[in-house]
Amino acid sequence: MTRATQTSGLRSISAVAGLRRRGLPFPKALGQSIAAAAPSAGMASVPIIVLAQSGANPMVSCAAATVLVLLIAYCLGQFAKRMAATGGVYSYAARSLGGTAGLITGWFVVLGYASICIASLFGIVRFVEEAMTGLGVSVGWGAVGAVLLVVAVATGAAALIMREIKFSAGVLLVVEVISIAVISALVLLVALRTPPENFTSALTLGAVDPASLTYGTVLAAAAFVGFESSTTLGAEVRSTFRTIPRTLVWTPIVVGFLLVSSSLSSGLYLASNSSATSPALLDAIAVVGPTGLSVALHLGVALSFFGCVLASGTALTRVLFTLGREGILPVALGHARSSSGVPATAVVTAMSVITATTVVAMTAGLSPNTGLTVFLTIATLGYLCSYLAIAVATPLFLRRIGEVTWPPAAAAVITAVALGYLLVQTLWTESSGGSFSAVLGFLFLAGFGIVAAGCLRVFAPTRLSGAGLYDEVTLADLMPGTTGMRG
Amino acid sequence: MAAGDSNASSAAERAIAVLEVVGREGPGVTAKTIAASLAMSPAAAYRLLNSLVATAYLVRLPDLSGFALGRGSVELATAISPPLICAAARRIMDDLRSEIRFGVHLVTFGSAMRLADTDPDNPIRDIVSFVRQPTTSAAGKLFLNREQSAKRTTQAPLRAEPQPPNAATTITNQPGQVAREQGGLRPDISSVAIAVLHSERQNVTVGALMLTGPTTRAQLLETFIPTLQSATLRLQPLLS
Repeated sequence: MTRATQTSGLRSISAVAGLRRRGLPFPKALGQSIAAAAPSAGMASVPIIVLAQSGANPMVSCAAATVLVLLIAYCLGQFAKRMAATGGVYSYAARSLGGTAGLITGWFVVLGYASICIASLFGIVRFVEEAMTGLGVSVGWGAVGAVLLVVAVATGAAALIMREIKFSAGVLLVVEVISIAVISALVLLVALRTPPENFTSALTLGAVDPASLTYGTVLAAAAFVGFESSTTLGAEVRSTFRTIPRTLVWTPIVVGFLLVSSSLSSGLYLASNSSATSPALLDAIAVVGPTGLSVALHLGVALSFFGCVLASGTALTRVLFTLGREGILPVALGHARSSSGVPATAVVTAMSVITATTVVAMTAGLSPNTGLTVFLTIATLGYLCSYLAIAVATPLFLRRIGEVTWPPAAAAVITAVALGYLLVQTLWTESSGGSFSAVLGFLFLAGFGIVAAGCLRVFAPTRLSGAGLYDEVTLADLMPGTTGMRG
Repeated sequence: MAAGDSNASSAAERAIAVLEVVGREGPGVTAKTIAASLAMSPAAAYRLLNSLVATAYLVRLPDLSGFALGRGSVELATAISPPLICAAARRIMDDLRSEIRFGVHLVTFGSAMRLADTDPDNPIRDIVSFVRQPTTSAAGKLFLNREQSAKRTTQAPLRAEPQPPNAATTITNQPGQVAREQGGLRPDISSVAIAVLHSERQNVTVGALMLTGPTTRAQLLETFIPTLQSATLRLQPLLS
């Protein structure tokens, strides 16, 4: 019988002291996760992307993607039930795969969050421009105007992330609810304005062969990435071991429902209008609704992108905070302001890099649409790699703590195989398609991360020894009456 | 319905059995050991353990594989056992009782009010009402005033400075530190209580010294306030 440790070895102060611990309620944590997946933008674009690129039925593809993401969520839940992490997927991987593999996973996570922020900034420029065109305002602002918009939006987002998490997560929840309400109303309008007798043909729309369905699933799965971002708030949410697993399950369900609804609505429109060529929500509302609704659509999507910047920016700062606390990155990143409980240096660093990259890419001539596609591809690849690492890490983690059972192990194997296939498929199709430069960019960045982690392992192994830090149990968690809970 | 009930009770029994194993085996016991000693399926044991950790009855130790009893269990345990007070505090209580012919009781304030040392010659009979209905006793009134008085002392920090023993009368005059009650515990009984403050944080009340006696002699109870006052100053470091 094992008696591994004595409680006397416990910390008296939390490893992540400085953050506002255990205060964030479930709805705000859910808002964070949903916002990072930007479902409104997905609702407007996924049906057309899936049908145009794979020929598969968007609804079936979205449903299949939901199942796949729920499998990933199940794997992540194994960690979230057991450790209150601030580095999310990175911390989970570092705990089970060790410092080097953990750091490489962390790099993919950072690439995911940072690239999705950059893509969202490009997206905001694109959709605000289109909304202005819809309003009859000529977009004569050129590159300078776009750069100013990016700087203004990023500064606004940084200022919000800098506030106490309860406040910023509250704002985020409101932004996300408005954005989803606007797009859902438009989706519903399209569905209601088309004759319901076409319901069956809408269901059978698109090809059903396995190859196109698989590719359709890959494309639809890209709309869920970021769903795991609440795992970076492990130390900040109330009853973390319940809240985080719940957000992990509910986010794919909510996002999946929204995407399937939007696909159904688009399918109905396409089946009912013989002249229609694509299931684009934009075309549909132009046909069925009064003019001016396209402006609402564009602003709704732009708002969704803003929510994504806030949510992914918050998640990114928490990962940098963790790396700083561990001593892997400069320790200043691991400092949280006592007034707000927010890692201020991490916020400034992350948002500056994101803004600067966007501005440089923009001034180098990248159009908002290309920028959105390129950085979205990089982000998706980053996320998929990190999810693959988690699928591999899950059974190893459970075996390490002596709690392995067959359901999570089987789920992890299925997830790993599916993700591996999706990753190869994405790399292949994206590189043979229009996003060759994005894939090349991702491979370069991934290579850089792997080399950097390898160098650290060879030249500064002690620096990696702190990897896998989390908000472990403290003396205050054992003794009532002490006040250490808020760390 | 019946099946549901039996399931619920067996889940509760299993949860308690897990807590008992962790209590018996000590900190660091692993999930595997717990499952084996209860002859449970590992999956069921792990599910139960995660749920007990989520509700803070257990904690996972930093190695993530060992378990220990958490705040929830510790709070449960301390709620049913009488609070321990040290020998020095008991001596102070005995001295007071030899000097004063009324009932002398020591009450401690935590998440609830608890009777730490009741007078064996003049005991408080209905302990449940005493604890559940704080308005029925002078000590209970101090317990209810605790947060309010904490605010007051924070607003007037100069008064909250640690007092030398001979400044007892000044403390007596401070609001919220002396309370009186008539007829709540029993129709013919009155009580007077003096707050015991935290030795370092004077805005925190850690307990109370309470005197109980016949209402007809309430005036006499008052005369013992200075004696109780100096005793609370000696009790401060022992209860903080």
